[in-house]
Amino acid sequence: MSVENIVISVFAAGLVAFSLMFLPSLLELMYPKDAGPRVITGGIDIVNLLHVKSLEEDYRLGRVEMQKLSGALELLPNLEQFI
Amino acid sequence: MNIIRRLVVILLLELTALSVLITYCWIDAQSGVILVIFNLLFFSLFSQLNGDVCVKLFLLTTGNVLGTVWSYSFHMLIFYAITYEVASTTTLHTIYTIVYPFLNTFWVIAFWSLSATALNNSQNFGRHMYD
Amino acid sequence: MIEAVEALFVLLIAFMLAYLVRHNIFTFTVLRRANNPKKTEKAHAKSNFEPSVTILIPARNEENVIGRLLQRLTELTYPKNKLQVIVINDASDDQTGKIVSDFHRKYPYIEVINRDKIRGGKGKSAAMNHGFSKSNGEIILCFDADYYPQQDIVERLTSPFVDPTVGGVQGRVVVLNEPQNIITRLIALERVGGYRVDQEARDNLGLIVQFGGTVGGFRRRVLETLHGWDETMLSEDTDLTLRTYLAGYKIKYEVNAECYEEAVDNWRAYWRQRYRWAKGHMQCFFKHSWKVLTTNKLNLKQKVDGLLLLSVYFMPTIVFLSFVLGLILLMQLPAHGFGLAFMTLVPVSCYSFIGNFAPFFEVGVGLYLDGRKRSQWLLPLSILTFLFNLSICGLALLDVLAGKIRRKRTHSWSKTNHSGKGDNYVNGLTLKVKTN
Repeated sequence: MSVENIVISVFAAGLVAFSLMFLPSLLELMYPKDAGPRVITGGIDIVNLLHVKSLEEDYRLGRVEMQKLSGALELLPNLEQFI
Repeated sequence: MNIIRRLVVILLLELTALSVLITYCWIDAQSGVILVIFNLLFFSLFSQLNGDVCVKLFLLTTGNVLGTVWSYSFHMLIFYAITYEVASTTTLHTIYTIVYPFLNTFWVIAFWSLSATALNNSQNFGRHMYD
Repeated sequence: MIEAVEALFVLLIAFMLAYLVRHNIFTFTVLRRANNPKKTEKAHAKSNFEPSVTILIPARNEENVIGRLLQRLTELTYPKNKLQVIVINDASDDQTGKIVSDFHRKYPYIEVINRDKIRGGKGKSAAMNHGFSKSNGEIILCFDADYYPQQDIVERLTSPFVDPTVGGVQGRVVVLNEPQNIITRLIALERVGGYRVDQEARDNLGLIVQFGGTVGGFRRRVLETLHGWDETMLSEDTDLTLRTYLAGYKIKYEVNAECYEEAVDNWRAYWRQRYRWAKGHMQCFFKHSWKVLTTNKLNLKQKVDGLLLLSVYFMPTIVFLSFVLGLILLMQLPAHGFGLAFMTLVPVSCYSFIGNFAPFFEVGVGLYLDGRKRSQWLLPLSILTFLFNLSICGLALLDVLAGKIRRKRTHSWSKTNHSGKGDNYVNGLTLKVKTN
């Protein structure tokens, strides 16, 4: 392999590596999964949320179980409409 | 399991040290110094973030390997440019010394962005959850 | 001659390393505090402190956004009998005045001051002073017309004033139209770094918290002492910040007092906005740096932070200059002076490597603390805005120096135009968030 080819190869490899660094950014721009805007809700007490967090830790509720539970709850009808 | 974890941690630390050594001895002293600074910075940062120790060390080792490969590639490019007389040795050496640290910022930022995603925990620091 | 270059080089390096240390201290401070939530997270305690509040809203040709803000202000939880909203319609050519008048008819606490073309159009500071002269609240809050606050923002912004040493307050700004395009997404990242990390760290460390000109306010007494906003300054917010601290008061940062803003969505508007900020900031440096250095109202760390805050827009020029001087020294020194060459370039390399990385460091940690994951992937693209800002700062410095040499005021006020596209995102949010 001649010196020319080595230089070109290294240069090309560098360019590819450089482009790869921006690949995640382009991925997020083209297929955004975290585009915001970040929700600001107001009025939620921070102390209460910390309490909930420790409760989860105390009973060691798994994330999978919680997701299944919330999924099941979503399917239940809104009983308030019948009141 | 504990023994395996310890072995993994030791292996990762050794790989990190090896990367720094290779970079400092066989590539360039400046690159070696940059890698040491990188390790100090990210070690102090990762220790503050939540996540498994093995994951953090794995990310740190990956960063070191990435830095070593990057240093090697750039060094080789300059070396062959000098050999092929693309520009004078002084000019290339100056470009390498001045521009190289700034170019390092690119891979460090890319590495940081991906590792922060990997380490991002589900703990709600603030009161607002993003959906 | 070479000794002079060396001395200047050492001075510049010291300056750069100070920024490096500062940014990293801020990041580690916020991270450490976030890991100890019981010490740092303050519950939003209901207090009996409900002072009368005036909200000033300067508006010039804001027909696309003013209605949204005013509607939101009618939904605030603060007692309306203690609230006064004054919209300063600053020589608008559009329907801004009509929209505000319609609100005034329905909600008497929303007042409008119409400034004609002769008296008006002289900048935000002049409008704010006019509004302030008609206000009656003990606390004066400011919002820009394109903002959208949370419902209990007044309570959160007024709570720090329980402490009599607090002269001002600053809340957090969140970008509303973040998903719009690449610019808005990158601006959102900047905001996270600035508000989630930078401001919070400065507040935690007792340094200079910067009033951002909006989502914040001051005690009436303080504004009267300071004679309101300086109408000759481009960055009236930075100017007011320094004057507040120099008067012996402090500004508190309330990270939980959040408000949406509609960020600029094209590079031209971005350039103009940042150019204005850079020039204004440099103006403030020339006005306040000596006073910050010599005052007895600030402690040593506040003085250091104040000077670094005022000089932040000079940093790109300083970095460039240090590279040039380093290069000169490298070429001038004898070839066998490896040690000297090493000592010359290591600090520059250090800054170039870590120092340039420091802002990204802050942004990444801010995103982490906000629980954002994929937004981290956009960090490499922030290099674009970073490089953009480098050129803005360089040109702004030349502009300011040219003005100083010619002793002419070279700045003119330019307004950021708002499209109102943030409405799409507000509507989407209100569907998801069930408000009380």
